[in-house]
Amino acid sequence: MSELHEHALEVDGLKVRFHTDDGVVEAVRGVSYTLARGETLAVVGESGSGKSVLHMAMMDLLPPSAEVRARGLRIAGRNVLGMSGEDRRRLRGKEIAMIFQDPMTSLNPFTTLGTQIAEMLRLHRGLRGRRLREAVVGALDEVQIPNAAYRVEQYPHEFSGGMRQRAMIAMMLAGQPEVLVADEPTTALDVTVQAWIMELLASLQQQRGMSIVLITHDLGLVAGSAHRVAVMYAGRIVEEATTDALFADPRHPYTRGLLASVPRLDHDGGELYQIPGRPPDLGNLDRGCPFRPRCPYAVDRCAAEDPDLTERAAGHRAACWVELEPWKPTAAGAAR
Amino acid sequence: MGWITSSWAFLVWTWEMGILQPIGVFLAIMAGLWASGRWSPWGSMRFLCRRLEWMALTLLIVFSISFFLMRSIPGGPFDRDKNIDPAIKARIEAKYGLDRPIGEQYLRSLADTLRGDLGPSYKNRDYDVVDIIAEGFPKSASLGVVALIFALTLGITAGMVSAVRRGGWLDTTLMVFATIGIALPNFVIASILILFLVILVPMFPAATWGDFRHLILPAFCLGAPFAAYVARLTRTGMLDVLTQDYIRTARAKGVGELRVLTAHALKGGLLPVVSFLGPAIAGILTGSLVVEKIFQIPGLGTHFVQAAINRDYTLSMGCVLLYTTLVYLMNLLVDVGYTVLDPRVELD
Amino acid sequence: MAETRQRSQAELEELLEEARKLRGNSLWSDAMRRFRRNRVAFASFWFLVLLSVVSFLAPLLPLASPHQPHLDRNYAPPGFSTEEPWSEDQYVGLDDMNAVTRWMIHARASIFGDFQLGPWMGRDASGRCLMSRIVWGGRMSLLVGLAATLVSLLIGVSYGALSGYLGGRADNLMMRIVDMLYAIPFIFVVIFLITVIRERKDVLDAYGLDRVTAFFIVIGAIYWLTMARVVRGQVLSVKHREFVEAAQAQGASTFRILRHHIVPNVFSVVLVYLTLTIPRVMLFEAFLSFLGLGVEPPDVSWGMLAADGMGAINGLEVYWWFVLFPGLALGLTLLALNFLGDGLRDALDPRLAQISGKAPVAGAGGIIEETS
Repeated sequence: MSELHEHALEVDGLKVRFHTDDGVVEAVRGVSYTLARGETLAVVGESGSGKSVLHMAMMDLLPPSAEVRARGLRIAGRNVLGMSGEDRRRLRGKEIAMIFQDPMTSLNPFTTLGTQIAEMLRLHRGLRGRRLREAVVGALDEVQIPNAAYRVEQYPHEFSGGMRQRAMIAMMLAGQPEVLVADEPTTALDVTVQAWIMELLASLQQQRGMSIVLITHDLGLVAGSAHRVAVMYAGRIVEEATTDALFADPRHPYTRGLLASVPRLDHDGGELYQIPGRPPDLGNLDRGCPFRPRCPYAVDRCAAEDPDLTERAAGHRAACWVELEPWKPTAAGAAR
Repeated sequence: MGWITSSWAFLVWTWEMGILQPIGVFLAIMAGLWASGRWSPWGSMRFLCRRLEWMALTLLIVFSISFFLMRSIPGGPFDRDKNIDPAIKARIEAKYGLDRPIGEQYLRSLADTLRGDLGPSYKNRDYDVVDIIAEGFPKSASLGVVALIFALTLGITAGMVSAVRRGGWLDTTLMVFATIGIALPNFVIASILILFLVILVPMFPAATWGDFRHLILPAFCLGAPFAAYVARLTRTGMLDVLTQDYIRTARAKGVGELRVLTAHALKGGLLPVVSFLGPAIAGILTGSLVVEKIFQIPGLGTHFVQAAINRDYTLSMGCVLLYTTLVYLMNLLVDVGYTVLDPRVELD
Repeated sequence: MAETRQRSQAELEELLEEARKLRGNSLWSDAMRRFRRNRVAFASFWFLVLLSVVSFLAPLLPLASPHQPHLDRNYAPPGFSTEEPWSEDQYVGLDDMNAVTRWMIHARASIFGDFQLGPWMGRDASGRCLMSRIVWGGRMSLLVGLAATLVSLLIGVSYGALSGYLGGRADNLMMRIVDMLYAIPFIFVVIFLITVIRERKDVLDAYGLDRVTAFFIVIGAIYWLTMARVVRGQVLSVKHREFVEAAQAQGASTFRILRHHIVPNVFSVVLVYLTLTIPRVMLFEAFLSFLGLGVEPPDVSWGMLAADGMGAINGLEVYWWFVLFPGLALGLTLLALNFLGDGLRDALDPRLAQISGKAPVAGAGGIIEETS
């Protein structure tokens, strides 16, 4: 791997549109970010905010009805724009890999886990025969699945949920990718298992020096594991900062709403805040800020123009016309 | 010692009838699966026993209904020989036990059938039913096997192409053909093919039984409707599987399109086809009645239809019992095959 | 159920209103709109309507008698010449026909006199007009198809609905029986049965049945299994929907629930399955008649005509019309019925249509580059 590039991932102005029977849906409306090598970026948002679609578009996993546009996209230093489908396929698994939310449906139920991992090793590392078999067992060992030599012969349905997600991680890391996109990796799992999986990802990251994009709607998960956070709403990033800065002083009303709706141990009593209203219909957005109808701070300008990301502090960007007062993290304070 | 001779006779009978051969193939496949560790006989023993019990019960019911229906017809089976001496007639009836009470006749007949003796054909008293069946069955079986292989290869290929090219003109064309194949009876297909390929452009030999070339046209006509069904099932099965999460996973791994289809999607996409195999085999057995008649193949189907038209009750009962057994065994094989293909399903 | 009882009256009213809407006009007008957009299915529908009218009115149309032989003109190719004028006594078994048919033949005599349309489709082995035989054959084939399907509908729907509605042990047992019947290769048993029935005319007479009636009762009696399963599945799924539970909680009687809530919801599925059963039954009738085990002369059916055509194929002379026209009539009708069934299914159950139309995930390839 050449060391010429410093960013594992660079996206510039990526847009995704779906052409459906009911018209055009703009799922991603221009997203730009960079991910440094060895860094973990959390992408946070409600379902439908475009966070999964964005990353599937980068990996060329969307159906043909999707139209993807971008000013720039570099994965592991390689310019993806203008690449053929076949070249992009070679990047998948080798430079950028993805693990999915539901390990039950995301693993092939008809073949053994060993076979599924071996496919990856054959494809991206050219292993064959005895070395292949050893590497498969090694891969399961690495994600701390006990009795690995025996379990490679088993089918996905013979594993528990947490074990399945471990096996998925083992499979996706078998190609030694530079970037791992983890799409809600713990949502379908028990709370105790969640921590376990996150620990595993962190330790694997340390060993290998890879970068992780953690797609989630769970801010609790973000606090413990990400270096930086990007908050997405209606197909755009509305706020981006280091994890500490974001939790200490969120600058976008939506982020404040999200933080206020997280149950906290240090503030008992009082009702949990809930952001009013529903996410907008991406099929017909008007000109203004899409968060405006739900926003307690909205001003006249919000209806006329959609704000771009602007620098609020060093490395802290937010897309809002209003300069918010410093944040007082109480349930009541969020509303006003 | 009597039971040894009768069991031996039963074995010989099942072999000659061609029942033992499929059972042999079945056992061989099972043994292979057991040896490779993909299936254990102990786990499914209960299942096998229960299915065989059901089969025995079904056969008993079919036998009983057939027997009493046969006997309910006014007059004996030999009444139609008009100018027969009453004394001779009485002797013949005595010989076949027709002068005994009906209950005794039923039990005797049942015992005979269990021993594998279906008695002489009512129509051609010189021939035993077992011999007629043993003579005709291999022909029908080879016709059926060729038709099934043809239906599966053509149907699966067409279905996969259609699924991959969904919405395109190739998909539309193939599916229109599939609908036509399902709608048209095989005798209509057969008559049109004979008109063109045998008479107008003599590419194929005319009817009757001979070498493999004689099999092609009948097997095509017999298999065509099933090829059409298989194509449809494969298409919907593949389209369904291609929307599954694990296909997205395979693509995320960087697996090529062709391998995604063959190594990841095919197995799941073919499950509906596998569950259709049971009805398909039964349907091919049925269809062979017509196809054998059209192409004048002296197989079991021809014998059965002739027996039905000639009111040759012993022969048609023998055929019905054989067909029932075959369909049951094939369904059993398909069910076991399904569990081998889909590791999540357990036999029950 | 405990929850349901706690619901307020207003909520129950709301649910019942929803139920009414569900089976109400919107569902049907939506389905009609979707169905009309499917041109093939729509055309098939009108083709079948036309075919049914022509078949029903066959005795009234100026056709030759389907029974009148012209031995000097056997295997005559399609043409126009009709030398022997039509007359009423050219029909075989006129006295055995039902009153409506006989009345139509009389009416034909007074409308058209002895005029008849020529043998546009040629003549058969005994010189009978093939066109007339095909129209009369369609009458029989459609009749058997409809009647046998109705028999299967009657048995299947009552069995399936009962099984699904009773639930529990009874349901289990009833479905076990269906499973067992499924495993029997019925066609062989039916052929056996039919040979016996044909022998026992005395028994049939005792029940006031003619052979054709017995014939479609037997066919219908073997095609009810899938219908029973489909209906049971629907009943089970509807039974546990909220509006039915709400109606139960309000104290509606079993019969009322069945009539007002379950039957309308099951109806669309039954309709779809019905249109798909008719071609199967017709195919089976053709199959039996082809083998010489079905409809018997003087009645005519398409399967019988196809068998006649098949029998006339030999290396010496090609009577193509004799093979082609019966096959075409049967083929087109079955095709139309299949298209109609598929179209109805797609219209009434858009979920199914969506599944097959949904584009699977695929690497689309390029990203469109944007500058600025």
